Amino acid sequence: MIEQQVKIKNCLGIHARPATLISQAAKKYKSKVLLVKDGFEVDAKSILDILLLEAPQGSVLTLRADGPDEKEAIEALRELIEERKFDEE
Amino acid sequence: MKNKILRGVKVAEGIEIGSIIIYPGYENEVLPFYILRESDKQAEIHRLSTAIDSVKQELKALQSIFEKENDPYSARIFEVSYALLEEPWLLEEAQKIIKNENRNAEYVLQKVIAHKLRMFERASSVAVRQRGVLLEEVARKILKKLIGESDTLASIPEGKILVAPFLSTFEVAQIPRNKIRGLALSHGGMTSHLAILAQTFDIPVVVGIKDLMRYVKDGQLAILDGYKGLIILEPDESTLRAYEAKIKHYSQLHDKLVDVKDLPPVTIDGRNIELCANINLPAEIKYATEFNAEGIGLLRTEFIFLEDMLDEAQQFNIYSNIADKIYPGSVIIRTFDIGADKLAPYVREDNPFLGWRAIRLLLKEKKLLRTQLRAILRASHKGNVKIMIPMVTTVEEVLEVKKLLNKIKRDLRNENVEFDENIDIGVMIETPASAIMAEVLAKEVEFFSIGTNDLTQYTMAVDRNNPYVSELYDPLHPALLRLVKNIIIAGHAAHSWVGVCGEMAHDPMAIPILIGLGVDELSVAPRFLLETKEIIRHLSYKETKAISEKVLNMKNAIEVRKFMKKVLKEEFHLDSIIDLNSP
Repeated sequence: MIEQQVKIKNCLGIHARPATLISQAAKKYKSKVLLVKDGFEVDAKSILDILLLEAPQGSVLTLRADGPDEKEAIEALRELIEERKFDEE
Repeated sequence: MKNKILRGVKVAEGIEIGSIIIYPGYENEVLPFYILRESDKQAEIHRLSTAIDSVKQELKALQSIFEKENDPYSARIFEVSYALLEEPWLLEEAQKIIKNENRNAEYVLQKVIAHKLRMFERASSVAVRQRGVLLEEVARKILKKLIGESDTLASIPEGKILVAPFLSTFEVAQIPRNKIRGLALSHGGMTSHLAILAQTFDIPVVVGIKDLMRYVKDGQLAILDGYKGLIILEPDESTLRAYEAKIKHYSQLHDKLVDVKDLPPVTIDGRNIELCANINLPAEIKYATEFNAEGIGLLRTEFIFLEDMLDEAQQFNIYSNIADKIYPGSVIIRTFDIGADKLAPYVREDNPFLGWRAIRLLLKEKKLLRTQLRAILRASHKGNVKIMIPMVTTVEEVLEVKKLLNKIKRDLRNENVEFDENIDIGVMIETPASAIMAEVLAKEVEFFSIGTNDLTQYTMAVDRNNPYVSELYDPLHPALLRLVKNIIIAGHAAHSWVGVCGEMAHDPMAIPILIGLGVDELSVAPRFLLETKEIIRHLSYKETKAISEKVLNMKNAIEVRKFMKKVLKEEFHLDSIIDLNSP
């Protein structure tokens, strides 16, 4: 299992569309992927779960992945969140 | 009960008289709950998954309809709903309960959704709580499929006033356009998105009518007044006659005004006034062009935020689409006026109208502004796009926007992206500070557009929605008129043109005064374009100059209105065109 912290950088934070993008990205990997914030864990492959997460701009999340392709999964999500900023900027 | 008047909130204007059809919706339905036989379980799971699949198909279809209509923000909500249903959780959890508890699909669906909704309701953040609506609407749609009621709205009879406790976005999207004559809802919390979908129907819409469901009956005759925001059930003879006269007046006026459509907005002594349209939504551009607006004097961009915020590419598409349609006329794009009463989910303020809104917010949330300015610049390559900054109180705000704009221009040049190097930038004058300091601001911009609604509220220190003080709200108060004069003089001295885009611009009593004071442009909601033009064409610029000097020296708004009423009738013979007795 590996973990990495990411910072939400887009203005609007994680709302409906980023939730869709995260789940689409996470589903490409076999590993179990979780988003953790303030002790609250959600399944990164489920839009419904992600929608329950309050993650405005500036908040910090932990990505946690466990499985055969855990490294790749974490890297893909980190890139989406921190570098591509959900393609919003 | 004869002539029962129920008040609500107006969403779309218009008056209709017609018979009522009630769409009871979900609240009033008794859902079937029963225990399954062991042998029926598999079939029940299949029934649920079929219902989910057919909802998914509908969502896909709705998404592509709105994409085709160039309405990406509507398309987007259907996309997210679809994605929600693509996930297996719903069917998996439902399957478990069907197997363990032997219950029917309707019961199970409700149970699963109620459990999920409680999670949203418990969230501490408002934003998260609101997201539950997405799930609720999707669930409702599946339930309707299960009980076989999916097509009731699609097949409602023509020409009725539709009454319902509540309609979901999906349901509104399903109503065949031009089929219903009016829409009245008892639920008040209509989401902004829903309101906007309803507005595209071009029928009167009134929501938040308390007790509506208690008094209303199927087939009952009713008057829906979208101007005043009320519904009258079983109107009596005299009310009916009064409303018929009103409808006749509006339609006659419409016929009379059609002739003026192709004529220029010019006074009898040859002063040309540029007559433009204000629009709130991309779809409204069709009304602006239908009534021959010369340009878009105010494009409000808050719709960008209705669902998820649109990114630069999507904003660019929308802005350039509008610029193309109005070409060679131009479009003035006002940067986001968010905060105060509009779309401010992030902060709670004691005094939002004096708080963090519009340009004050954008200069702190620079990414929002940068994204928008980039999209606007990219859409400006044909040279018919202008930028307007709202809620300016001091010149540094303008300078800061210009600095950012120059930086973006440099970036675009480096990226070899085409844009208008000389794009005009203007200020929406809506605070007393900017009106008084117009001389300083004028040196920094190419134009002013006076937002008289806010300028009146801030100058008179009155909230026009507050019935205790709303009497004081009148843009014809000499205090306002003197400010307007100051703004125009300052603008013209610096060779900037000056327009008016507030509601004052279509007020028949105000138009002669504004023209007399020297405004160059009036921008009004599309439905006022023809009436405003007809009024302009009856005026003499020379006379309006004398009139405006006279009213500036009056004591109060009542005196100004009384005088203007007489002038409109006796000097300009406008009493046949406008109803001088309506407030």
